[in-house]
Amino acid sequence: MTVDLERAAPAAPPAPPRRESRIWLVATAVTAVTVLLIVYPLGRTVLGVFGIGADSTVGRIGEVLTSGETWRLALNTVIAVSVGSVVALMIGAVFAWINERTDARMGFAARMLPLMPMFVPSIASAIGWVFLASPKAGVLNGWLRDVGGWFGLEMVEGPLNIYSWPGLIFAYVLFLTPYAYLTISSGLQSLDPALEEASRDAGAGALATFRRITLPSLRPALGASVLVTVTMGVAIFSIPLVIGTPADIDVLPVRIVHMMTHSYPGDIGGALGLSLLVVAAVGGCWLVQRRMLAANAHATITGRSSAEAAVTLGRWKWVARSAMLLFLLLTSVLPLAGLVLVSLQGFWSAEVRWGHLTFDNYRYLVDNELVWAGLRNSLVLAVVCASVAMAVGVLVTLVLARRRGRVASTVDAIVKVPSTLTHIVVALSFIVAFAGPPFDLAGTYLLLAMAYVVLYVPQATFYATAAYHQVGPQLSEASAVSGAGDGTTVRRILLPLMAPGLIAGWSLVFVLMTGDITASSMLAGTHTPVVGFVILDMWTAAGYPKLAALGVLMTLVSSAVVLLVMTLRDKLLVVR
Amino acid sequence: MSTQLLDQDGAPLTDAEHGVRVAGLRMVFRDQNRNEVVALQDVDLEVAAGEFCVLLGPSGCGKTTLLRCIAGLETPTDGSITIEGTPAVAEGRVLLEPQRRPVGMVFQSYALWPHLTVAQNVAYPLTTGPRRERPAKSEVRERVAAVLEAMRIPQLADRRIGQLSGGQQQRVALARAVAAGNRVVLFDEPLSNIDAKVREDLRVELKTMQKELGFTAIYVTHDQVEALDLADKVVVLDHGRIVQTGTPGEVYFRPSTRHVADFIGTSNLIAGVTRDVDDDRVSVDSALGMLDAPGDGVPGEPAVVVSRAHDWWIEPTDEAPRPGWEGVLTSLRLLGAYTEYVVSVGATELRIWDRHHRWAEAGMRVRVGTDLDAAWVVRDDG
Repeated sequence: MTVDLERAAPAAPPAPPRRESRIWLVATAVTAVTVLLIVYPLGRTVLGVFGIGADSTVGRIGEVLTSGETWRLALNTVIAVSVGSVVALMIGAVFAWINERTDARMGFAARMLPLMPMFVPSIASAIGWVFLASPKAGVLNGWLRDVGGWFGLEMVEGPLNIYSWPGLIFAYVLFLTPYAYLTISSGLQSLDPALEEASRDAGAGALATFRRITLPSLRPALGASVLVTVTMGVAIFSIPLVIGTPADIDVLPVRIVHMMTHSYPGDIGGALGLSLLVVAAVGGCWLVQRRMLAANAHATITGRSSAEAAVTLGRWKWVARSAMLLFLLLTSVLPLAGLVLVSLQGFWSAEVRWGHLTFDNYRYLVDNELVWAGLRNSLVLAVVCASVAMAVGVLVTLVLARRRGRVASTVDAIVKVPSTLTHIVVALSFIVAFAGPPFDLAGTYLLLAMAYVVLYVPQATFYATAAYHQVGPQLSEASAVSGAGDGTTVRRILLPLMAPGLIAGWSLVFVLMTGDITASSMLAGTHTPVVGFVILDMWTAAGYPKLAALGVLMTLVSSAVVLLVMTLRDKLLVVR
Repeated sequence: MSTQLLDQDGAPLTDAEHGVRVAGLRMVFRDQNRNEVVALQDVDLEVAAGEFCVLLGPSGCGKTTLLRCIAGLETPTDGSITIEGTPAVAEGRVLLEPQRRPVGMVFQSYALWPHLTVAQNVAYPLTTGPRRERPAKSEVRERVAAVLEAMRIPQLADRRIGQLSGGQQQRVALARAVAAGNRVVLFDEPLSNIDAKVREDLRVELKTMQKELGFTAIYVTHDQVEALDLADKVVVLDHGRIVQTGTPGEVYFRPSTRHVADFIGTSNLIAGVTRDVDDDRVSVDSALGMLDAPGDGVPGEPAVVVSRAHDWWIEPTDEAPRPGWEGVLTSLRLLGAYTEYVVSVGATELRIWDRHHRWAEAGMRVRVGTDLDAAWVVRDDG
């Protein structure tokens, strides 16, 4: 019997009220509060956009939307995101194919690629690349000029210039590729390799098979990764701030945050106007993805991938492997090396003075009250909020698994809103709804915590749902037949079995929260400092080496937590 | 273990107050396209205490849905279910949630919890009730030890589930199902994922355990051999309805419909029209001439003569002729204990299981025949 069936209305009189287990009361209440926390701020913001309510901003929005400056920003954003997404998609697709289908597969690369954003926060990576490749003082540029000098090439600056269109797009590509890789490789995993083998048996070469069979059948996965990369791309704030602004390339998210933080009170109308464009971009992409899914309704093929099906790449095997290793180098090792080198010096220059390395910058971080408080607050907030978000994710998953129908699918859609509407829009709506009366939560930890939880509830729910589906339904049913109530089943059977997945999800959410820049830049202040706020503050005020030291510290914390949690999870899995 | 069931005053209970009773059960789904799908219809079933009842049918016939309704994992649209004298469902209303029904269940995958040891799995049902009703820790330990002893697996107590063989998993699953003292155990195709050879041993073992412990078993399978071997009572389902209930012998030798005959065993179904009914013998006018066999029929109605493949013989045409038919041997397959011959007699194709004959070759003319006293006439239901 398929489970996905809805029961017809029984002819018998309605069932008597069942004794509901306490767990369902809790789960339903938490789900309701979560939905409210998402819907209320957005609703109030939308009303404001339409000029209804006290905080009408309709005039200012119109003003912003008709200004030529806005359309210049929009054009910049479209160029950066579309070129970055397309390149990321191509690299992600090729890497996914190499790892899922060929003998060049590298377990290490396959495991690490999607995790890169978790190890090195995007802001740290962007700053690292600035240190490496800024035209005059870039460390990598210094070395390249030295090498050039040996061949009689004298250069004052360059050859690399991160502060340029190619530099900005390069950073977007590094940032977006892991997400593209993740969606496409999971698409490949659920696609029966037999289809491709059939094509190769029919005489088509490896490349022809990839182009004519694999790619078309992957259209749903490609659609999903277009949506993901574009959503991430139009919302990312740290990369264009660090690399785009000095290059005079302004994009929408940077300007939105700028409007909110560089005047008092913030220019909410202007920020909302620009946000509408961001939402429109995501909405457009969503429609495209729906189209791709609808045109390919038959592509939901499932099958088991077999190791024997690997395509032999021959000499290309080493090219493929080198490309993947190079990518890992570019996303993690190099920017981190840039950060470390600069953080160990008194000032930032292209020449590394190996004799004068110092830990002074790290000492500064510990001594500076704002920085230390920011680090501490970020860790505490992330531990608390990641735990709350995962708990919400589990409860929402339980509610959705039990109830079907229109209400459930609406809740399901609402819970995904914060990640589809982009963080910048949601953070903005939090300011609109909660900063002023009657809540007056501006500049409080509560507002930050609420925003963190709401922003990362989609990821938490995604991981909780994945963990839930890994536990076969019969294991819960066996518990019920053994006399356990629903609460007991959740506590003694479901949660322990979901634990590995929940731990993985927690660590991802934790890392994303500690590295959060978007919400922190708008919702935190000098009285409620968090790392994201402090790093932006230092970007404009303190010296670069101190900034580098903070970047190194952030990366270390992220990597340590991820590695620790992954080891813990592997231990849990071994016990089985 | 007790074999005699007693009520609270120590008097023996009658079967009517025991086992499982299902009446007028109906279940209707709506699929994704909002079409009504009838999963169960007019299902009446009585399983007596200590009886081994097998629900048999092709996949999608509703047998698993029926079992899950009894367990409480599905809610029927209408009808009632009484377990051990306690109403669980009445007129489609759920009176007892699954956790409060006095049944144990062995799942297709066994559904043993991988994060617990064998002993912890078996102890679980003893520790799930309301806190004040739970037995003391020492008592739980004793009962788990006793159940594992009864299943002959005391040495597995501290093992993890991942370290067990299929057969061991079955015993643990059964131990868990009976640990809390349930008198009714439901089985959802527990042997379908196990090798054929091991399956036979496990069947014998299961039957022995059931008789020893004396529980009532309701067992779902699509495997007719399993059903015939295990059951005291076989219930054949088709398209959500019960089409026949009887002992293995009755279901095998006296199928009630063409569907049942076709599903259980390999038979030649020779269609025709009933001409004459005399006591319990029916004359059917068929392509093979007038066939006279025991069974049911109404003169003038279509009927089918069911004749098992193993009741037929085959011989060369040059032997002294026995009464039978002449035909062409179209193919033969050596299947070990017997050989399957396919013989065309006119337009009728017959499947014959006989010992292997060296003379037999595809394409030759042969004589075939059967003992019609072993055949059975049923009405032709499609």
